[in-house]
Amino acid sequence: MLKTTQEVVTRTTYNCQIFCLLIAFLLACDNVKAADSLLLLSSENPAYESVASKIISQGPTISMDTSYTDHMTDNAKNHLESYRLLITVGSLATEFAMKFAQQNSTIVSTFIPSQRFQQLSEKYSRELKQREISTTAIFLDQPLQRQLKLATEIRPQLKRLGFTLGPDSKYILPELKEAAATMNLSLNYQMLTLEDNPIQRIQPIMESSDLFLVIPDQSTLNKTTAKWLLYMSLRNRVPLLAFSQNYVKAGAVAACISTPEDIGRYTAEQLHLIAGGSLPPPSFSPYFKVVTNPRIARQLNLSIKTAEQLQQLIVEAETQ
Amino acid sequence: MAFILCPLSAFCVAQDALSELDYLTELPVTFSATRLPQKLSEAPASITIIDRRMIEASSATTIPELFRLVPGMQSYHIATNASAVAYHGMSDKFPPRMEVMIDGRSVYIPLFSTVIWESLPISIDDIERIEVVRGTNTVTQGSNAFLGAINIITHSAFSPRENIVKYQQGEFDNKTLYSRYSAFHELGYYSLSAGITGNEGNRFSSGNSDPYFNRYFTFNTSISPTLLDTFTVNLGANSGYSSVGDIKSTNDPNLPDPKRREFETNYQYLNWTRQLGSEKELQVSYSHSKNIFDARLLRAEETGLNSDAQAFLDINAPFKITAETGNIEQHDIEVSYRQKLNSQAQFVSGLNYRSGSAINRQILDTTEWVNEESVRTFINLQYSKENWIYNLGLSAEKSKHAGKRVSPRLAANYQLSDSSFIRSSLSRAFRMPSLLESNYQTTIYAPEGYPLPVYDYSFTKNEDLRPEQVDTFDIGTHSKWQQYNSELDLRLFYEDISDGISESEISSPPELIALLKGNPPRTHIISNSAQWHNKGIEMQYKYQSQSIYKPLIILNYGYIQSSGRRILSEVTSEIDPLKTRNPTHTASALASVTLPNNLMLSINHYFLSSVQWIEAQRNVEKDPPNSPYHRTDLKISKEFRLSHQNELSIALIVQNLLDKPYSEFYAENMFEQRTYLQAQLSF
Repeated sequence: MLKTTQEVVTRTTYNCQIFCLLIAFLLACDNVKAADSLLLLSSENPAYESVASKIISQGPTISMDTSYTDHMTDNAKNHLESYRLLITVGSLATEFAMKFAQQNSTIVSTFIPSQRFQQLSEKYSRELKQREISTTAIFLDQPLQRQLKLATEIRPQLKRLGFTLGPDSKYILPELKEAAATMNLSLNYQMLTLEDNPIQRIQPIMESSDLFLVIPDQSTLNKTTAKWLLYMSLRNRVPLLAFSQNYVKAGAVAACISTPEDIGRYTAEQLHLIAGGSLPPPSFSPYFKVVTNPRIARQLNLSIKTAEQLQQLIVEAETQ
Repeated sequence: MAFILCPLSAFCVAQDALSELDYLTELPVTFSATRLPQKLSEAPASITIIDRRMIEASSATTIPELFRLVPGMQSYHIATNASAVAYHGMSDKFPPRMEVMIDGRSVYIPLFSTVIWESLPISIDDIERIEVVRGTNTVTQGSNAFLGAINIITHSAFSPRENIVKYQQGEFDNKTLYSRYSAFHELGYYSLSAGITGNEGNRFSSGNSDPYFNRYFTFNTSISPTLLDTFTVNLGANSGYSSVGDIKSTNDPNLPDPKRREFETNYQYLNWTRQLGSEKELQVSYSHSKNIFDARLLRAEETGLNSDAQAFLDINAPFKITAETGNIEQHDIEVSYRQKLNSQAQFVSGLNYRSGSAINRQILDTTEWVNEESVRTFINLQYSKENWIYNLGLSAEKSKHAGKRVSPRLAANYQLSDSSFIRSSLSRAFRMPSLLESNYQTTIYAPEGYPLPVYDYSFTKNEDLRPEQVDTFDIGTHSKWQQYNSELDLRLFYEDISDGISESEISSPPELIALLKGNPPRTHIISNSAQWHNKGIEMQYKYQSQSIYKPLIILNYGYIQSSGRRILSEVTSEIDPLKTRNPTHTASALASVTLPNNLMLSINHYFLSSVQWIEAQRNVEKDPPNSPYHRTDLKISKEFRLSHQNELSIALIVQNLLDKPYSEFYAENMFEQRTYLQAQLSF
């Protein structure tokens, strides 16, 4: 079973029941009239179903079929022929839609890391252009400004921000530089690939940083990197700001996260706009929460606000 | 070899693209039950975790004492400085049916079919956490994990306090100095740990005492030359002395007379872990250990023989004052491969080769090395579907003397709610006879001039010894209520042990009778002469909060009913009914709070109902059982923050606070009040 965070599991169980009922309803409707829209899930993973459940319950009243990518692999083009709007949940579904969507259709990719969406958009840019397919996205990850705001709340004297970049995340550097410049932060970073020695790459960064930002990448998701990052964070007493609740549980001091429900809710809101005739640009979810690890904060001698207070501060900053 | 390890093509690393599921996947924690990353609720067995918080709150000063906090487990002193740990009783001084590993390396001594706790090169301060699998785990850890397994995990890179110096003074003039230092170099980290501990032991009415001394040194390093490879090297060595011998009541004023036994250990453990993709991992490990247990030679005047004494000693040389000596050398090589197949399925499989050699003339009847080898292959598969989690395990083991056996385990866990799981499992497991059990033979040879070459024999090697077998049915629940900071595990079990390996008296075989012309007509063998079943229930409850006062409450209870039989003598048909060889009730409680100014108060309470340990109370009819006992311990500790990184901690431990002496193992082995004072500097 996929290990998901507790809040995902908790909400998912209930949502799955609703989702099954809704799917049954939609399948029944499907017998009467073919829908224009397709809600395509990457797999039967409860997290995807949780997103889909929110979309169905809170989205616009449009005729919509629901399916999984592995149900459509045979004769994929024919399957997607009749749909003008494809709402894809997860990377696999997004890639599937980019490959096989019909002429002039719209893809709303949700619950996808921004970097993955960017990679896929580049990979299929020619096909998308040829078939005049419009795309937009709702990203799972967090905007940089939000993370940097959290970083300054965790470490008010933050001057030097450390991080590593890998093959998946290197594109983020210009944006990071720009954001750091507006906040008067200096950046300490290194490229990290799977063939690199993590200590030699990370330790000099950690030594000269006030806070280390873990940027999602195959190199930072690697178990060995995670182990060394957490270790060096404690050794150097440099807090880690992570991207998932599980990283925080393991030893990072805090993270901003959006749950599948948050993403589903925001996707439903974006679909209302699309139903109204406009196509919003790709965006991050405004719904998120902050998770902290007070035990680690104490070990690092950090006095941090509660997760709720931090969340409130970020929300206030974003609404200004 | 039904299980095939990964194909060579798997060495090509898959460069998996970042996926949204990576944001949700937990950084894996591998539990001992299957070696798969699992939550406790997904594991196919009941598992007790003794973490650092529990260790610091407990009153234990040695590792075996910690196992009083495991339901159904008995930890008992067999002498002042020697302990035994058994799960579900049925034990003597040498409980054989549980595997004990330190950082993945077995410390089971095949020459004594047990773990010699006092000779381990480790201190309680080295431990990060202990995982105890309650119930058979041969599928994962081999045949020694017949009824359970203890996995001790020492401090890793994640330890918040890297450097420690600690001093303890206490009962029996105990003095202990411990230090740990860790740092990292450009490829990884390393830690050094060293300790010296000793005490004068108990002063018996005979005037004898059983002092203890152990000094040890360990070096652990972990190196990651790339993100895909991690090499771990653990080295250690120790030397010291303790005492062996029975502390039994006798009319002889010179007894008890504990025999001093010296020990020396060194070990090397190497592990290479290679990630072959985001969810594929290959591990290769090798360990080697050498243990030397030695005692002085028996002197002629101590034999009780007349003028031939020296001649007897010469022909039976080396003849030590205790037979519990010998050299043991072990090699263990393992290759394992783990893969997550999809979001529902994962497996681990492996191949293990183990070789153990020992030399001891007195109990193996040869001056040559005696060797036992085994090859084992295993697989654990976890499959999840909706609310069900299935665990299938299979282990096939072939040993040099006992042939082949296949141990299966099938478990199904059902998620009742967000917080609760039901767990059930069915398993069959085999324990291969240990090196000692396969080769136990004692013969006293007669010197020249005697009409016969053999003077006496008491144990004869059993060529037909078979593995013992346990069939287990287990049902339990695991609940974790995060909002209440509580966790509850219940286990109901039925264990049926057949072909149980035990000592038995038999008529001497004709060839021995011929050697001694019919005298003595009886001998002993290790045989499959026992069978019994255990049924019972175990409960563990934990409440732990990080809120004000950081309360920690642990409640453990084990109830067991045993019945069966052990043939003590095939000659006289004497039977041991085994019913009283297991304490019916085992209970423990731990309550701890941290008051303002880092003042921690902990109370530990232990209860054990009456029991007749095998060997300590040999005759169930005549030897009265040990009385049930209650024992309450107190620990008070206070931390002083000296600077940003330095901390001084002072602790007072009073074991048996109410000073109600009780017997442990031997009736005369009284546990009275013991007090210890500790000071620890962390920096």
